[in-house]
Amino acid sequence: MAFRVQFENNNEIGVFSKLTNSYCLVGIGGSENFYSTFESELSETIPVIHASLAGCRIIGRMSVGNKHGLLVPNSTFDTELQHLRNSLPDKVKLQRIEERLSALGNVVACNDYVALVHPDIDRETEEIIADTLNVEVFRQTIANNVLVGSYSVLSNRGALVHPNTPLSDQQELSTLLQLPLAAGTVNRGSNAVAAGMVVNDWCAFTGMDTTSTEVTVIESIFRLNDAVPSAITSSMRATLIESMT
Amino acid sequence: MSLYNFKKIAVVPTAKDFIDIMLSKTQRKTPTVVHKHYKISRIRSFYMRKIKYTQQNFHDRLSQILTEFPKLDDVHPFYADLMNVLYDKDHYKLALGQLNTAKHLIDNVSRDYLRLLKYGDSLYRCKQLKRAALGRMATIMKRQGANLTYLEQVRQHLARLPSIDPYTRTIIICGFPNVGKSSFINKITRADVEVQPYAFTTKSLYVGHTDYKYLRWQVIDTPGILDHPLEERNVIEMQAVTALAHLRACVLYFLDLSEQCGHLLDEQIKLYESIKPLFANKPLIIVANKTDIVKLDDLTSERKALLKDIEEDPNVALLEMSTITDFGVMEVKSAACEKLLTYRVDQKMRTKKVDGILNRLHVTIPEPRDNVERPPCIPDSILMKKQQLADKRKRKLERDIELEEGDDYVLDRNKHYVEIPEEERYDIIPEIWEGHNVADYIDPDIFQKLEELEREEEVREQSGMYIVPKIELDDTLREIKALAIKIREKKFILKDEARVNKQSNKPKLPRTVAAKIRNRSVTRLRSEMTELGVDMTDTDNAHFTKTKSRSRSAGPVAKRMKMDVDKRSESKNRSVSRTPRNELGVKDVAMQRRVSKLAHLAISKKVRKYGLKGEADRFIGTKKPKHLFAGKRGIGKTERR
Amino acid sequence: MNQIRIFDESFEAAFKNGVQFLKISTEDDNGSREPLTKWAPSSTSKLICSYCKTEFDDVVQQREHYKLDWHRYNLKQNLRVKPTITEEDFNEKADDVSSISGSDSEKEDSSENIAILRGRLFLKNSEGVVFSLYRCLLFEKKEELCDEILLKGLEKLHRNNQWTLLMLGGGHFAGGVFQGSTIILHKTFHAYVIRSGQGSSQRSMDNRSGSFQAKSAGASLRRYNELALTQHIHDIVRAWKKEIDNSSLIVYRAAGSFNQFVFFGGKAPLLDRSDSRLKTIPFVTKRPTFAELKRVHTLLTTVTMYESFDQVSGILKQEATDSSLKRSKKKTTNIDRAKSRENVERPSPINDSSMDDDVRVPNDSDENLEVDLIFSDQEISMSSVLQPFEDSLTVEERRQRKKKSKKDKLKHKRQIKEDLTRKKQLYDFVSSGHVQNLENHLKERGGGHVHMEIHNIALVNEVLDDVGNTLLHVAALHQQLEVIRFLLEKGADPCLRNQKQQTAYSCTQNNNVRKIFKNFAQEFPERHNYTKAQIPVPVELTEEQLNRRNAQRKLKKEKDKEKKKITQLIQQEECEKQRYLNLSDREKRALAAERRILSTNGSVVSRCFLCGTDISGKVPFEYSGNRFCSIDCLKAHRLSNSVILS
Repeated sequence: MAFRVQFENNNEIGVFSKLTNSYCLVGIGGSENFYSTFESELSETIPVIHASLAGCRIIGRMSVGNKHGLLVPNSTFDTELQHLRNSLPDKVKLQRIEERLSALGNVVACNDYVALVHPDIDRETEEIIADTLNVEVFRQTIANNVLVGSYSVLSNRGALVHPNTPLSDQQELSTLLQLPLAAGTVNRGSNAVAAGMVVNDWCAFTGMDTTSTEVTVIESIFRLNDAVPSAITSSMRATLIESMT
Repeated sequence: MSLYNFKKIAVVPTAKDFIDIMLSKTQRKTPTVVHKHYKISRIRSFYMRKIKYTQQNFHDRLSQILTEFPKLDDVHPFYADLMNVLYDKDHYKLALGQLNTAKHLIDNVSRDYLRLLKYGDSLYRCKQLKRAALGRMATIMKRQGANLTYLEQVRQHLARLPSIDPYTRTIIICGFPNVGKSSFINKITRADVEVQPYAFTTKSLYVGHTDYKYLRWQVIDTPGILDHPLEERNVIEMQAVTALAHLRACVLYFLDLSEQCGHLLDEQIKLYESIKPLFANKPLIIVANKTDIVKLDDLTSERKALLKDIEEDPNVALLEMSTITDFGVMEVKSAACEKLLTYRVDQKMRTKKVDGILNRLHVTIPEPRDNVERPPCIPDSILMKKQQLADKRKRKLERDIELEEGDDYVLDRNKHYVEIPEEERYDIIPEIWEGHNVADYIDPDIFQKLEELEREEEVREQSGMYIVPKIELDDTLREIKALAIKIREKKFILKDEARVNKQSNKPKLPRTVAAKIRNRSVTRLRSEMTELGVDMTDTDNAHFTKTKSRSRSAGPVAKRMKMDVDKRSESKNRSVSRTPRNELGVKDVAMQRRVSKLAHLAISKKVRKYGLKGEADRFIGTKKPKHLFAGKRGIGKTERR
Repeated sequence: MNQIRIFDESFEAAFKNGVQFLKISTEDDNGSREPLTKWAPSSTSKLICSYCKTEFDDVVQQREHYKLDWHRYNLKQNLRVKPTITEEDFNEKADDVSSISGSDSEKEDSSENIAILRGRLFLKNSEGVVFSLYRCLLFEKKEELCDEILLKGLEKLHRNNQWTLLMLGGGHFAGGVFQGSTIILHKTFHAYVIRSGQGSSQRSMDNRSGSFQAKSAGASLRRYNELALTQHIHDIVRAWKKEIDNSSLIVYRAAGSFNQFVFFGGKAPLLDRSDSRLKTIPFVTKRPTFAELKRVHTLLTTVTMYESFDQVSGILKQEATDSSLKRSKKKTTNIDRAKSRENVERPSPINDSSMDDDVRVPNDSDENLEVDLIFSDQEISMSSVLQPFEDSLTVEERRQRKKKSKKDKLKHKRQIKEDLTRKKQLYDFVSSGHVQNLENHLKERGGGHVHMEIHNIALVNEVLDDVGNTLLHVAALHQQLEVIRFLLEKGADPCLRNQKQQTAYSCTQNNNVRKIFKNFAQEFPERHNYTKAQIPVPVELTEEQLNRRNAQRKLKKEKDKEKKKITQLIQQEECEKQRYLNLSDREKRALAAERRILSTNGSVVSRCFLCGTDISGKVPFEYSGNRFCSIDCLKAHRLSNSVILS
C-alpha cells in the first residue's frame, strides 16, 4: 500500500521518518498527525518510534538502517540513543558511528541484503555497515551523484532511483542490488526520491504532492498492492510519457 | 493550470463613478487649507499638487485597466478567437485604444495647466486654473462612458468564462442541438450542465474534468451547431466552432439516430461533412446516441447507407451509446481518452522530447548474480491481514444470493442477528398487547429477579418470620392500659385549655422591663477567660475578635462586578427593594397623583412648543442654522477649496 | 658562457648552418588520452563494473573490487566526466601520487615547450651550441615561433645594424641612433612635467573635456612644459627622420599614457604603431639618460653563448623550480579522504619552546628554503636566561640561529654561565658595601693586563643586571656611599644610563648619595660631563647678576605690601557689612534714618537692607521705607517678613 502523508505542510517525508521491515522511526513534530498515519498502518506489526537525533527532526537523512540494525551519527545524544535502544526490538543492533559524512541517510542506501554507499565513506564505516546491517556494501554513484542515499530508495522487492540514471547504469545497479529497478520521481517531479518517500516490503509512504502516476510507479516497482513492475513498461507507458512531457 | 485566468481583472467603474472616485481621492489625499496671504509660490504648489495628483490617479487607473485586460495578440488563438466571437474584436480594441488616448489627453491637460499655473498670480486665479484642469480631465473621462460600460460588461463576461487550458488533454463534444451532449458530459464529469428537452439549452462552453489512467482530462461541452454557412452562424454556434478550430483535442461528434432532436439523420451527416475540415488531424469518434430508442442495427437500410461512409473511414470510430440507460457511456469515454492518449504520445514520440525520459519507461530486471536468496521480509500479521482481505472478497455477498435466487429473492434481515440463537431468530414478538407497548415492560433480568425473590421468600417462611406470636394480657397490664388512655385524654384537654388561655394581645414584655443589656464583648470574654486561667495572650487576631459590626454603613465597600459574591454580604449590600424614581420622596397616594399630573403637564408643554411627536421625539429641525455658521470666508468652504 | 654582440662575425657563424629552437622535454606526460568510449563487456557476464571496465569471475571478487581505491578513483573520474583508468595505471599513479582522491587538478599540458627565459629565446645551432637572445628582436608579440622566420630574422638582424633607441619617462628623454655599437646621433634632455602629489590626477582631469582644470602656477607650468617636451621631441625625431628610416629596428620605452601619446598621439604621430620595426624594451630600465641608453643597447645586442647544453638546462631548471616554489606556496592542502585518519603525534607547543635549538627537528619549510641560506657572523646579543619566545623571532633570525655550529654554541653557553656567577658576586659586593672585596675582585680581574687603567675602567663600568644598571647605579640604589666614592675614583662613568634612561645620580633620591656625587663633581670638574650625568654643579654668580636679583626681590616685597593693604581694606568692609547684617530691623532702620540726616551734610555709605552691600551711588529699590540693592533682595525681605507686615 502506498499512502500520502505530510509532515507539517512539508512533503519531504523521507527526511522526517525512517521505515524498515522491523521498525519505523518518526520525527517529533508539532502535531501527531504525521506520527499517527504511520501508527495506524504499522503499529500492529512493528514499533513506530518517536525519535530525534542530535536534537534534530531530520532523522531520515541522518540515520540508516534495515531489518538487522540501525546506524546513527556520532552527534546523537546519549539520551536519544538510550531511548532508541529501549524502543527498538532486541534483535535490531543499534550503533553510533564516527563518520565524517554524518548525514548517513544521504550517503548510504540499503535494504536487508545490499547497501550502496558514497565513494568517500570511511573504510571503518564501510565495515561497520557490512557487519551491523548484515549487507554487502558497494561504493557507487547514481546518475553522476555521490549522494546515493538521497537519490535511491530500496526495499527487498524493488528499487527506485534518480530519474536521470542512464539505462546502462540502471542495468548495473539492478544486477548489484538483485532487484527490479526503475527510475522515477516523487512529489510532482522531485529528483530526491529518498527524501520524498519511505518504503518497506509491504507498504510505502510518499509526500502529499506525489501524483497518482508517481504513486502507481512506486506501487508497481515495490510490488505493493499486487502490482507488478512490468506494468510500468506496459500499461503505464502512455500515461508516463503524457504526464512527463 | 490557471494559465488563463480572467477572474482577477479589477472592476471598471462607470464614467460618473470614475470621476467621483478620482476627485474625492484628490480631495481626501491632498491638503485642503490655503490662505490668500500665503506666499504665491506656496499657493501655486498647493494647486499644482492637486492637479498632479489627480492626473497621476487617472493615469494609474487607466493604465491598470489597459494592462489587466488581455491583449488579443498575446493570448492563445483559441481565447483570441473566442473573445472576437463574444465581444467583437474591433469594438474591444477600439475601447482599449480610446482609453489609452484618454489617458494621454489627461496627461496633456495636466501638463498644460501645470504650466499655466506657474503664471497664476493670485489664489483666485490658481484656484480657477485648478478647477479648469480637473474639469477638463473629468470631461475627457465623461466621454469614455460608453467604453467603460462596455469594458465592464466584457470583464464580467470574461470572469465567467470557463477556465479552459488550451494545451492539456481535451475532449470536445459537438453535434446538433439536443442530441445529448450535455447529458454525456454530466455522466462522465461533475460539470453539472443544465439539461432540458429543447434545443440550445447550452448557450456557451462548459468545462468538466474526468480521470482516466491516472491522468486528468478536460471535457468541453459546446453549444449545438446547425448546418449553415459560417457567415450565418450566430454567437452561440461560433463558440463551438472556435473551440473545434483551435483546441487540439479528441472530438466526439454526436448523432441522434432516433431523430428526436428534430433533425434528420441525413442532415446530421451533412453537418458532419460540412464541419469535417475542423476535425482534420484530430482523433475523431462518432457517437450514436439515444440507442435506447433506436439501435444502430435497427436502422432502415437507406439510413444505414448514409452511415456507410463513416463506418468505412479507418480514422473514425462509430460507437453506440445511450445516456439514459448508461449503455456504452464508459466505452465512449475510454475510447476517446485512449485515442487521444495514443495520438498525443505519438506526437510526442515524434519530437525529441521523449529521449530524456526513455530511461524512466524502463524497468530493469536483474540477472542473478549469485545463488543467494533474497526474500522479502513481510511479517506474518501483514500476510494474514491480506489473506483476510482476500477471504472477505470471496464471501458470498447478498448480490450473489440475489442473482442465485432470482425472483424468489427476499431480503433476509434476521439472519444477521448473531446474538439470538438460531431457533429464536425468526420468532414473532407481539408489539402491542391490551393497549400497552410490550417493549415498555421488558426487563431483561426479570426472570432472574423473580427467582431471587422467590428464593428469599422461601427462606423467610422457613425461618418462621410470618408466624404471629399469641400475647396474653393479665390484669395489671389491662389496668395500666386503661390508665394510659385516661392520661392521654387529660393531656389533650390541658393542652387545649392552655391554648385558649394564652390567647391575649397584650405585649409580651411589660414596658417597665429594662432593655436587655448587651454585655457580651471581646474584652469581657478576654478578662473572664484570663480570670478563669486561660492564657489569652496572642489572641489579638483571634477569630473571636472579628465580631460582626451591627452598623450597615460600616460594611465593606460593595464592588459591583464581583461575580463570586458570598451570600451574607449580598444581603447586606443590596437594598431589599428600591423605590422607583417617580415614587422617591412621595409621601402618599394623593401626592403621587399630583406629581404625575404635574410631570405630564410639563412634558406636554415642551412637546407642544417644539412641535414634537412626544416625549421621545428628539428631532432637531435645522442642525446648522446658516446664521450661526456662515461667515465672511469666501473661496469655498473650510473642507472644500 | 661567453657573450658576443649581434653584429659580430662570430654570431653569424653561429647561426649560419641553421638553428632550431631549444625544446624542453616535459617528463610528466600523462600517457595516452583515450576518448570516452562506451565500454561493452566482452562476454555476457553479469559480474561487471562498468566504471572500471572489468569483469569478475565470482561474487567474492566483485565484492572485493568495490572496496578498492581504484574503483573509488574511477567513480570520481566518472563524476568529473574524465576517462577512467586501468588498474595498472592506477597502481602506477598511486605510487607517486599520495592522494588518490583525484581532486587535485591535472597539470595543464603546455603545448609550447620551447625554452624561453625572461624574454630570452634559447636557440641551438647545427653544431649543438646553445645561445640566447631577446625574443622581441625576432618576433612580434603574438607571433608564433616558427623555424622559417627564425633564420631569416637572424640574418636580417645581423645585416642591418642601424638601430634607433628612444626612451621617454618622467620628463626625461633620451634618444639615439646606433650603427653597430657606435652612436651616430643622440640627444637627451629633461623637462618639468611630473608634479609630485596632484600631478597625475590633474593631468587626467585636463584630458577630460569640460571638467575642472587645475589653475595653480605649478599646474600651468606643467602644462606648458608638457607641450614644450612634446614639441621638442617632435623636432628632434623629425630631424633624425632620415636616419630613423634607415634603421632596421626602433626600440622604444614609453610607459604611461602621456609618454605613449608623445610618440604615437597627436595629428601627425611620430611613430607608426603598425610599423613592424617597432619594439619595446623587454627588461627593466632606469631613468632615460645617455648612459642608460647605451646600456640598453648593449644588453639588446648581446648574444649569450653557452658552452654546454647542461648549463642551459641547469639554468632553465632552476628557473622552473623557483617558479614552481612560488606556485606551491599558494597551493591549498588537500585532505585525503581515502586515508583513515590517524593521530599524528604532534609535540605540544610547550615542549617545543623549551627545546634547545640544536635538538630542534628541521621542518619542511626549512628544507625548502635551504638553498639560498645566508651565513652571517652576526652575534645576537641576548642572555640565555632571557631568551625571547621562539615565535617572536623572524624566520631569518631563526634560520641564523639554527645555523650556528654546535661547538660554538656550547662554548658560548659556558662563557655566559661563568659571566653570570661573576656578576652576581660583584652585585653582592656592591650592594653590601664591601669596598675591600670589590677592590680585590677588580684587581684580580684586571691583573696581568698591560693597560691596567683602560681595562679597569671597562670593568668598573660593567653592566650588572638586566635593567642595565652599572656598578655605580647599584651602589647608588643601595646607598653605599663609600662604594660610590671608590668607584668614582676608579673612573666609573656617572653619565651611563640604565634602561630606564636614568643616570646613577638620578636613580636615587637620597640626599647623602647625591651629595657624594656633587662633591665629586666639584672636586673633579673636568673629569666627566656632569650635565650629561644630570649632576648639578654649583655656579658662581657675578656682581651684575647679584644686583639684578636684589632688585627683583625688592620689587616683589613692595608688591606684596600693596596686596596686603588691599586685602585689609576688603576685610574691613566685610566686617562692617557683617556688623550691619547682625543688627535688628529696627536698628537698621534707625541707622538708615541717621544716615539720611547725615547725608544732607555729607556722603555716607547706605546699605542694602537685607544683604548689607554698599548701594551708595546706585538707585535703590525701596519697599516700606527700606532700601534694597536689588529686586531679589527686596523680594526675599518681603517674603521673610510678610507676617509682620500684614
